Amino acid sequence: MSVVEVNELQNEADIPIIKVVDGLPAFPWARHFTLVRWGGDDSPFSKFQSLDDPELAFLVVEPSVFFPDYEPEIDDHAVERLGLERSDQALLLVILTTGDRPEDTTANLLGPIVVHRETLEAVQVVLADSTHSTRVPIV
Amino acid sequence: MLVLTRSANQSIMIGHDIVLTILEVRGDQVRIGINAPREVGIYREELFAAIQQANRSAASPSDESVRSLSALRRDKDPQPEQD
Repeated sequence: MSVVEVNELQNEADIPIIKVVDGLPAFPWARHFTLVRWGGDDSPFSKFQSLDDPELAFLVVEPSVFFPDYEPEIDDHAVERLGLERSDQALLLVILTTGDRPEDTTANLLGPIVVHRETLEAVQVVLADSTHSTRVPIV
Repeated sequence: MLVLTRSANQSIMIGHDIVLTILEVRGDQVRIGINAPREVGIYREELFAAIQQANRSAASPSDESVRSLSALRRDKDPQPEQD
């Protein structure tokens, strides 16, 4: 999808578009996403939907919902890339991997997505602290 | 892949702004210093690869699996009665 088409879509639907400025690891071309609640009115989960490929979407959640002690250190690269000046400007999202049963759902705590709340630019960071796992059970 | 051989205290430039310096060679470990603009991401390759793999596994879950997950959560943490 070209940038012109994305801008037209934004004006039509008035849905905020998150710009993943460097693409996602494994999906480097996926740069424009919408975020909508997924799973019902009281669901904490959202669908991170690619506008560049309508078949690509991720199940995401704010990590504080399941991991209240999770306080990843966002490195200088991400801070600089997004122009973050205060930590409250950052919205964190973690990507969930579903399994055969809902109890098998895991969260990627090694690679959170950091979104600048005002500019809506985002990066998926790779935490330097490798004690975090890409598959942490949420249940 | 470009292959170069360096000794301790020698460096490699990538582009005009990134400098890799071999700080120390000890046994089978090499300490590498990297000078790069702050907006350039620097990652241990195996961690970046882990993120790629996790993204691939996570891509495009079904609506059904999300509904099951919501239902599980609702059953575990029922919302309090509204007054």
